Amino acid sequence: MYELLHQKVSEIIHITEEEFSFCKTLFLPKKLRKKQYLLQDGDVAKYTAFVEKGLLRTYSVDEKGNEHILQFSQEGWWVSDLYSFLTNEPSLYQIEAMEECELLLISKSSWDLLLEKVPAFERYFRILIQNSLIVTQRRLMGTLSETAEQKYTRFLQSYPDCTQRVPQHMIASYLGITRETLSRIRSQIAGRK
Amino acid sequence: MVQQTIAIAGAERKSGSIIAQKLVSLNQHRLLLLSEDEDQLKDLPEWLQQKSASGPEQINCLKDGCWEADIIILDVPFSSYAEVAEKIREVSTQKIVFVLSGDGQDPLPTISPVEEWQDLLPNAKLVIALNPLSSSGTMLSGADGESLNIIAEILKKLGLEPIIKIKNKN
Repeated sequence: MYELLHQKVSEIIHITEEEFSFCKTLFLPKKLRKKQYLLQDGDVAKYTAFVEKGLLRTYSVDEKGNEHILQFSQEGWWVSDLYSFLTNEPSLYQIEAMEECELLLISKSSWDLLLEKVPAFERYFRILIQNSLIVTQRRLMGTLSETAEQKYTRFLQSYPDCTQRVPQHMIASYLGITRETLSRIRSQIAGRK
Repeated sequence: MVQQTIAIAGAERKSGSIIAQKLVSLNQHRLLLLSEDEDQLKDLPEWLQQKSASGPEQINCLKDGCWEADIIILDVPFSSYAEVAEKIREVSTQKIVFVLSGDGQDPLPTISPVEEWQDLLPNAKLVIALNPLSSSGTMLSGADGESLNIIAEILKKLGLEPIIKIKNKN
């Protein structure tokens, strides 16, 4: 159950078996079925989650009922609304399981305890948050300046395993383009091969 | 708000059945009824066996059901405490485990069920109810104040009178 977490943590920091055993006592294992929610808008994100298995999407719904997908989260990734998790403010997002998921949840109090008792995790989460900031900045810049094809190419680089698992209309929503535009781009790329 | 999932092991027993029935009537939670013995699930009251989109779902694997749950309710005989704990230990970490104990169906354990369960599930947030359906109130004990309050709030909604009597330290 904790193999992927151990692997991913060990790629970034060195921790002892004893430290990882302590770490395991702080996580809440949770299985979600397809279309069940980890978080709904208006709720406080009580947990941040490590994805052991499955795929989730983080999205918001605008006043007209249109969905805007912020992120897909696959195996080995963390998912939450970090702002809500850290500030205890209600979230603006929904996080939904797109497949059956196996997650490891950690509450804010357990997270604080983990950082206090195993300081190496301070470095681990600092690096994760640093990487997340870089990705967010690139995505923002991409949204402002890239063509639809460049955005799609970046999506393929960010989520190489997801193209077969995510419906096309959700990829279009993530990229902020219409389904028709995405279809045209895919045809153009396929035609060049 | 995300609907919480409550798993009940022992819904065919006295306290478990009444709590399950009240939770179904309350209709605020997704309910999973757990037993590894298919015959035990057949012993459920008829109203609990009715399958509907919003009704309780029966699962014949304790571990899988508890893995899905946010809150686990156990009404199991004292003689099977260790066996049940072994099956759910890995998936009950940091979860509220609400144990119904001492409803007269079994002889009382020789040691406190609170201590027994704290040894068996050291990383779960245990809330123990002694004589849960007593007319003088449901006495709750446990080490985690937030979990005690969450269970007390649910019991109030079910029309019971919770009394947070003891807060044990781990």
